[in-house]
Formats: sequence, structure tokens, C-alpha cells
Amino acid sequence: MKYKDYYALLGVERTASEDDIKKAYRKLARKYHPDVSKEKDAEEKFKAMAEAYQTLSDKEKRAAYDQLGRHQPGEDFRPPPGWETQFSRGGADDIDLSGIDLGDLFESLSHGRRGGARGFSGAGHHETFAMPGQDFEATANLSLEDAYRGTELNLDLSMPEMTPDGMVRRVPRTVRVRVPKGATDGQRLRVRGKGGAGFNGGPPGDLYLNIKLTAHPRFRVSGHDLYLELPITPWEAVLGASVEVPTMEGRVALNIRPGSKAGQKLRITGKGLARPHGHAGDLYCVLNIVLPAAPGDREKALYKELAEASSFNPREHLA
Amino acid sequence: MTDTNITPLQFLDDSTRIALEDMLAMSGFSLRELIDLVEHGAIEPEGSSTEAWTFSARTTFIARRAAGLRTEFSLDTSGTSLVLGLLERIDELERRMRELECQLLR
Repeated sequence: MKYKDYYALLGVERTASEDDIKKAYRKLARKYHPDVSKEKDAEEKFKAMAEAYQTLSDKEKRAAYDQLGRHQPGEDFRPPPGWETQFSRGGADDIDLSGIDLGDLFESLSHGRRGGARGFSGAGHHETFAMPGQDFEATANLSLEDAYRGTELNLDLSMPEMTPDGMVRRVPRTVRVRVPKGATDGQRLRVRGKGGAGFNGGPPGDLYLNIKLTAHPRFRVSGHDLYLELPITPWEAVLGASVEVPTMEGRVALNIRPGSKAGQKLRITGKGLARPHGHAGDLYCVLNIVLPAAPGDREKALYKELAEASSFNPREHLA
Repeated sequence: MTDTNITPLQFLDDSTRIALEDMLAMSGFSLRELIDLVEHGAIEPEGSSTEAWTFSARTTFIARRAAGLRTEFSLDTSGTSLVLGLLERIDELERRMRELECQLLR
């Protein structure tokens, strides 16, 4: 079992009062809560802090944690002899603790109190009321092509589950899901019944997926709309043109009107991502007027001739 | 353990309606807590009576966040309601920012 220094995670002394622990947690939760924080790795840090707080804010769990002694974070350690028995009234001294996560161990203590687990039952009660399984959230990374067409995913998850020895342990699970057309970046999806197993006959929890689209070399995604930067020449912008543009379903012809401007958006209706219960999004082509990197002599001569012939002054308003 | 069955997904967006019972199960709120949040305007159901309430599936995600925030920061209903409003505003601003970023020329 790997040691975690819960006091260090919360930045408090081992002698800290309940109130100090609560204050430290609140302060760090404010900083790292995934709903309010933009800090790097905020979610991981918040989970670690929440785990530390759940243990240290509970008198019985804190006492059990303190009895484990001091170790280096990440160090393999064994609880002192009799530790399991001391904090158990259910004969938990024969439980194999090797390979168990420290957070899961204390989670087992919670379940023991609620009557779900064997052993580690501080209150000594063994009611067997049904409890629903835990809900989980996971990120599903999709390519734009997969989101456009719909796809099947195998999600490799590690879920804490109550094992037959009455302990909460990480169990690898692969869940197969079919993501239909209509998913886009930031979309939340519910996979009913694929969260943690229920306890004592309770229903399983749900799995919530957060869709994350990987960056596409050509298209940018906003909701169900797609954006494509479309380079055009200065003369196409002035004179108008018909150009071919790529879409997710192949190339289509697009009419550039005479007098088009840089940054102008041209919409191709229905060529974005499908919506689950409605019209598909659109594809917007954002015009970018580009100049030749190295104009030839003839081109330079024509630009010079244009400069001499034109009276256009784009800076008139700055005069 | 591999689950060989392919599980269908439910979109949590405004196009899907969720019944009250499902909302309570998904959010973890009690009925009283949910009614409080509705009265504070943090969550807006449709339906003429509490029993007939339905919610946008997107709202269930907001409710889950509300349940987490309320526990993690020991917020009362007014505080939860206020925070949710601000989070919604941030979500909308981020959505708008992504849309504008898409239009920027590289």
C-alpha cells in the first residue's frame, strides 16, 4: 500500500485542529475546484485534497490514519500489527491490504459504517440496506470524423468496487458505448447503469461522459458548427470567384461575391455536425485574403500600375 | 472485466427532457432541496405542478454541480443558487469565446 500524506496535501500540521483542517480545505477547494479553477491539473489536485479532507475531517478515520505512522508520500508501507483489528469490530484482521489504495481503504471504512462492508465497522453495526452505486465521470476523446459519423468506443476505466472480502478496491472495467452522431466538444452524455456497482442490491450508478474533440488540422468546432479558414487571392476578393471548398462529406463549390472582405463568413447550411434531435450545424468559411509570398516581376508591375491608377485611400479617416 | 454489450447513451442537452424522479436520482438532491433551488431560480423546470415537472437534460448536469458545490463548500441554497448563476454565465462566455476564436484568422 502506498502512503499518502494527507496533512501535507492540506498544508496543515499533524496537530491541526478540526477547524484548521476545515479552513485549509475550504481555501484549497476554492483554488482547485474544477468548476472554478483554471490551474493546471486542478481536478487531480482537488480529488487528492478531497480524499485527504474526507479522512481528516472524520475523528475516527483521522485516528486510524494517525495510527499508520509517518512515511514518505508514495512509500510502500504496511499498517502496524493489529491496526486492522483495532479499527474493526467485524474480524477484519485477515484482510489482504496489499495493493489497495489508501483512499479506497478509508472509503471501505465509510461503507463498513453504513453496513455495506465486512469489517472496518467502527460503529459495529451491520445493517444491510440497499445503496445505489457511485456515479463516475470520464472524458471520451473523439476525432472530428468519429463525432461526425458516430462511433463505438471502448472505455477503459478503473472503478472502486466492493469486492467479496468487503473492501473497496480498484477494479479495471471496459465499457463499450455507441456514440451516435450529434456529439460535439464539451457535450455531456449519460451511460445509464455503467457507474459503480450498487451495494446490498442497490442499483448501479451511472457513467457520465464528457466529450473532448481532438484538434482537427482543417476545421475548428464551435457547438455543432464548423469553421474553415478559406484563403483567397486579392483579385478573387475584388472580382468574385467560384472556389472549391472541403467539407466533411467531400468538396463543394462556393461562390465568392465581388468585393468580399477578409474575415467575412460564408455559410454552407447543414454541413456542420449533426444535432441529436434537430437540424445539423453549418459550415462557415472565413475568408482570408492572402498575398503571394514572392510575387514575380509581372505581378509587381501590375500592382504598381494598380497603385498609380487607384485613388483608394483606406486611411482617410485617420488623416 | 469487459462489458461486451454496447450501451446506448443519453444526450444531456436541451433537446432531452428528464422527469422529476430521474432528476432526483441523477442530482442526488432531495425533493425539498430541489424545490428550494427552483424557488431561487437556479433551476427552471417545465410543468404545472411539482409532480409534473420535467427538466432539460442539460439542467441535470447543473444540478449535479450544485450538489457537489453545496457539499464541498457547505453552501446554503442562496449561495448555491448564486454560484450556479455565475457558472452558467462563465459557460456561456466560454462558449462565445470559442465561437470567436474559430473566426480568427491564423
